[in-house]
Amino acid sequence: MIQFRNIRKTYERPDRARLEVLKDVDGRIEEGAFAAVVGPSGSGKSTLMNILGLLDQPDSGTYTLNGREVTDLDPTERARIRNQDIGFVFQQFHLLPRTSAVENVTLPLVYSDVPDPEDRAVAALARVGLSDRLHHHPHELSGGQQQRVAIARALVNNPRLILADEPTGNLDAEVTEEIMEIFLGLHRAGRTIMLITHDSDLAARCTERLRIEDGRLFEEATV
Amino acid sequence: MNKRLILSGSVRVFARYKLRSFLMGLGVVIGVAALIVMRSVGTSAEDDVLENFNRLFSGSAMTIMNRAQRIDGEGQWAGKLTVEDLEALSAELPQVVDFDPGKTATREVSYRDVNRSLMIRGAGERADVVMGRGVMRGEFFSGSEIRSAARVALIGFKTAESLFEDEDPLGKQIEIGGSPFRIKGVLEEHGFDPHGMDLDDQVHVPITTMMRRIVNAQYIDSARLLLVEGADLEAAVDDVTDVLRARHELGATVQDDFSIYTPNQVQRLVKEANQVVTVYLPATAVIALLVAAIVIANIMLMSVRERTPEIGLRKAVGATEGQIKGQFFAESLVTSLFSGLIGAGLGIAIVAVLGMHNTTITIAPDAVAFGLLTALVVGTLAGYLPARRAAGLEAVEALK
Ligand SMILES: Nc1ncnc2c1ncn2[C@@H]1O[C@H](COP(=O)(O)OP(=O)(O)O)[C@@H](O)[C@H]1O
Ligand SMILES: [Mg+2]
Repeated sequence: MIQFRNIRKTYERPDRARLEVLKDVDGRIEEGAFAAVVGPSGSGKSTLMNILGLLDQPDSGTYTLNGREVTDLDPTERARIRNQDIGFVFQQFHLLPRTSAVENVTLPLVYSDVPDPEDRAVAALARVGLSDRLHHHPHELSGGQQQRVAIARALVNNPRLILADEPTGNLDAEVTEEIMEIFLGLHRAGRTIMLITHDSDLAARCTERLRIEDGRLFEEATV
Repeated sequence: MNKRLILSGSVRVFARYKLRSFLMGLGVVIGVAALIVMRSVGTSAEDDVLENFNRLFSGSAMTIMNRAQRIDGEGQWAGKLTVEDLEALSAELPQVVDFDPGKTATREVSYRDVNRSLMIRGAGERADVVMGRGVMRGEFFSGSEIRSAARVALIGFKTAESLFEDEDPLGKQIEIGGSPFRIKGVLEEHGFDPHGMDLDDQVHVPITTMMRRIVNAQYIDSARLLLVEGADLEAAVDDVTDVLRARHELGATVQDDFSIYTPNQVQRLVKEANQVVTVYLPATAVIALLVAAIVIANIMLMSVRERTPEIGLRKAVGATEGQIKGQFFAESLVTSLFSGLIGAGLGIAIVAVLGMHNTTITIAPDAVAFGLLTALVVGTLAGYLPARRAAGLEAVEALK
């Protein structure tokens, strides 16, 4: 499903020193995998996820998604792939304020052509157990509920790949477990998931673990 | 891309940011309303004045003023125009068929305990025909009254109301400058002259009475000549000029001591004078709308900054740069057009209310169209920069 080689990403720091976040990393994630990405803060986990999610571009390297070389695609085509094939979940939820759950979940469908956007949004909210919160605004929902709305939004276009960047980082243990259950369910249903987490218990329940350290990517053996 | 959702999304933004949308639109509402009101009132006033002129200047006619502009354009001086000049013009020039001398002065007019300072106008025997203004009640001056400088007067209907209220003014005696006059009739309604003088609140007396008994003057203020139908106006102006210069004994190097106006000139002067109202005032409204555009652009730039995470998220879920640009453009356009419509409604309502008090005021359709067009331009101008800034945001940065 995902295959990348020699991915390099360097940032220039304010003091003009170069910060090599990713140094020629290679890796692959098979279709149907539930991969955890772990590593210390600032090690480049989010950077890698943004590159794999076509939100950011590497300085060099090749990236094949679903058998297609996507490194040199134009911005419009990249936007289309993000819309159709990838669902994002972020630590800060990123829901639109003063906007109902259904409308938030409908957002990806604004940029695609489906005949029944609202129905699909309602169905996606049902899958995360929020059928009774359709018209609530974010400030009327708990953190866990807000993250479930965000997951429904990631699911609404039926993408094959879900990229989650520390989705439980702001949530307490009980709610973290609820969210993890949802991801496990999605995995059982055949979706490919990449989960960035600091929580080693969560990582242990994934099918594989990738560790980023000192700009390099290692595959950890299953415990 | 789903057009329905895009559109409902940009309308939804109003609900999400009510106060901000209100502030954004306010300038456009006020600008468009002001534009429509100013332009409507201005053009209505112009139409009104021109209608008066057309009534006065139907056929071929000219007006002679007993004054000339100094060469440097500063100030005027009085000439030596007399009733005898007019009689000479009538006798010597075959194209002059009728004339009426005019002389005005302001005097105290009183009836019983009512005292008013009014414009008194001396009029000739033919004034009803030449000036196109007879009486609606009573009788016009007779030839013998003119010749004998009789103490008789005609009054405008507003003067009649103010002096007599419900009483019948005909045959009553009033005092003009302390001398008694008998009221013979009430003048036909005539509206306002281009200087804003109310022609219905005046007193007319025979020109001879005016010259001898009220002001004791030799020269008249103005005169109107009626020419034969189809007369060559330019040639007539030249002929009249020649006769008057000869009678006033002006040497070859001396300027005219009178001015001659023909209907075309007067129309042009009226239009020029009215440009202040019909062009310059609405132009200030357009400037106000441009300021509104700057306000909208500023608020939207603020909004783009504040909504950076939203923009990043929209990009993450598949919005292209073009779609983000389109969204902010749409918000700006919808705001301005919607505000423009409200402003147009407000402007039309204000004009309608004004129209109830002054029937000559009607809505100027060109102003409504222009106002909405300006709103559209405002929306486009105001949306450009914020839309570009929003589209240019990097998704990764925007989501941090
Ligand atoms: N736009 C940027 N400019 C400069 N440095 C950046 C930028 N984005 C990320 N970094 C740096 O790159 C490193 C990796 O960041 P990130 O991928 O967010 O780490 P992680 O998600 O593993 O905590 C950090 O040191 C961060 O400060
Ligand atoms: Mg991170």
